[in-house]
Amino acid sequence: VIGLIKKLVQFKLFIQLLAAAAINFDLAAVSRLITSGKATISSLPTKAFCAGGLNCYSCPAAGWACPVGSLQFWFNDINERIRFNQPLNLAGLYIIGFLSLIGGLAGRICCGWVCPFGFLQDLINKITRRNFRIPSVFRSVRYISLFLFVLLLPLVIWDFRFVGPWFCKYLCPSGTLTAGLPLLVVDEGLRASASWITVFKMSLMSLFLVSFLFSRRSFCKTLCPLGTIWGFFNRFSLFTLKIDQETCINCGKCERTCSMHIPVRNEQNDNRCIRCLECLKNCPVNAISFKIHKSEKFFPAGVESKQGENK
Amino acid sequence: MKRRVLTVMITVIMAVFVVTGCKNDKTDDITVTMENYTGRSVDEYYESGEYQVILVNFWATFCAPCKKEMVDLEELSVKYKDRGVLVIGACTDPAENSGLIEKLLINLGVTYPTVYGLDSNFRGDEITGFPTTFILDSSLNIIERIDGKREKEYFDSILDNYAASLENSGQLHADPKLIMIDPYLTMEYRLLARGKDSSELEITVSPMDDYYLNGEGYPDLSISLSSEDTAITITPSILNCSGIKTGESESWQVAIDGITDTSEISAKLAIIACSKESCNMLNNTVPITL
Repeated sequence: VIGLIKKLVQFKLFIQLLAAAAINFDLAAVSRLITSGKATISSLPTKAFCAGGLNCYSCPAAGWACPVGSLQFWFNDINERIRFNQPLNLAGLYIIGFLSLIGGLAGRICCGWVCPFGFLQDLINKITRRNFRIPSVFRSVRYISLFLFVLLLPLVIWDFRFVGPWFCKYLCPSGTLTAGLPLLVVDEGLRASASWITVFKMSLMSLFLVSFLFSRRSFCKTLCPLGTIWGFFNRFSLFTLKIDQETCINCGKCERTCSMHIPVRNEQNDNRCIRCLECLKNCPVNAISFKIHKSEKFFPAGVESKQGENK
Repeated sequence: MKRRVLTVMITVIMAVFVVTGCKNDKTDDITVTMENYTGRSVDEYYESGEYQVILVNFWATFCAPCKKEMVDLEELSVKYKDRGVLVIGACTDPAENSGLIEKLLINLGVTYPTVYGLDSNFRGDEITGFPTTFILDSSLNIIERIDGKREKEYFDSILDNYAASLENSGQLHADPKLIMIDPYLTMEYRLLARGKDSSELEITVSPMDDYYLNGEGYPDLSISLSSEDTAITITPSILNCSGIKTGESESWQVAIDGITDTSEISAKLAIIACSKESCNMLNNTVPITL
């Protein structure tokens, strides 16, 4: 099994490419956009469902909805219905269910394997292969992004000038790149609507694009609300990572290859872990393994007995 | 270990959420018109023929950017009402959300007609993003589809374009203007069509109260149209008929070429207005402003 996993990790970029293509599969919409010269996005019925990554609904090719965007729109809806004393729309529970289901199964695994924006960050980083550590002050900004921009503001603010998906509107560089930029380039009428928000978001996006060269997954580390949500599940998910301290030779290779700078030898299921399994792949003595709940078996084999002793 | 069991349970519960969340059954897709809100149904608006350009704005109650746009459209609907542009709100929320829709409209101050309970589909065009706006011509053909929110200035400029092209192509019925020559007769005129090169004017003359109208060279009465502007040609330039009885009226249609905004035409009457008691010769010259 471990051989298979290592092979998979080796081809991870290819898997990420496939996932990105599977999420953004509506090429007909893209050709419509280009030939018509007017802002238009995919209008497939699959868009009622969430994608397993931060992928803007308004990306012309996107065939699925962004879970973070959906969440904010649902909170807006709750806000409005409470204000106007109307029964709540429970359909939004789907989003909570979707996030919890994936998180409960494997935590942030979609960050590492599915998310198209994560894929882009990995790709750009391939140019330099540098990965500077980001100060913890910036790393905690993602909690503000989640609790303030995704949860609190959409739930509380109700003024038609400001109501909306705050994270998408003011921050999301993924949306700016995959939706804002192509639509603005194509549609002249839309360009006339550009405001200081556009300028700000374009700057933020450019800043991130450059930062990917120097720090791998800098967006995931500092701003992503979706990764933050799934991060909470890392410690409790069915799929968890485990290090066998006795086999470990303390070479530190896992920590050097970890794109998220996690001290793997001490904490394998940190909420920053994107489950990319690079540590597992790079361990020269196969000391890192994963297990799926209840199967008392660890992968690679040979560590079950120690698990028993630890209990 | 207990923690893991808890996780499994939570995951299962959440999985149930996934399934129940999907079950958002739309009870019915009937189109409900908020008649009581605008006082007129959308059909009535269509049929009134007062509007030659119709802007249909699709929105949904969960859509945040729609709300800002609706406030803008409300302003524009008032601005362009007299220029042949009708704004209609089309909400895709199901009929059971009528309470929320109505409160929202009141909150946003929207007074243009709004329909709800619509499919997210307009003439086979799937709508998956909100807002989506369609602009229709007088035969209800789609002339433009706009995906996503736009600023007020954007709609202002395209509506101005459409309204202006209407005015130039002469589809717009201008209000009639009235000239009274007390106590004998009224003369009403209005532009039926206004084009760059050629416009069409309708002139209607009716005697007042007990009078009837005859002409000097019995029985013909005549009205001569002329302009100081030599670029203007009027056909026919002399309107006549063999008298107008009490309670009746006579209309003429006149083609005018080379008209400009400042053009002025004068109408010289040669009419004898008679009551049972007496007859009066009218030699008035009245201005016709276009």
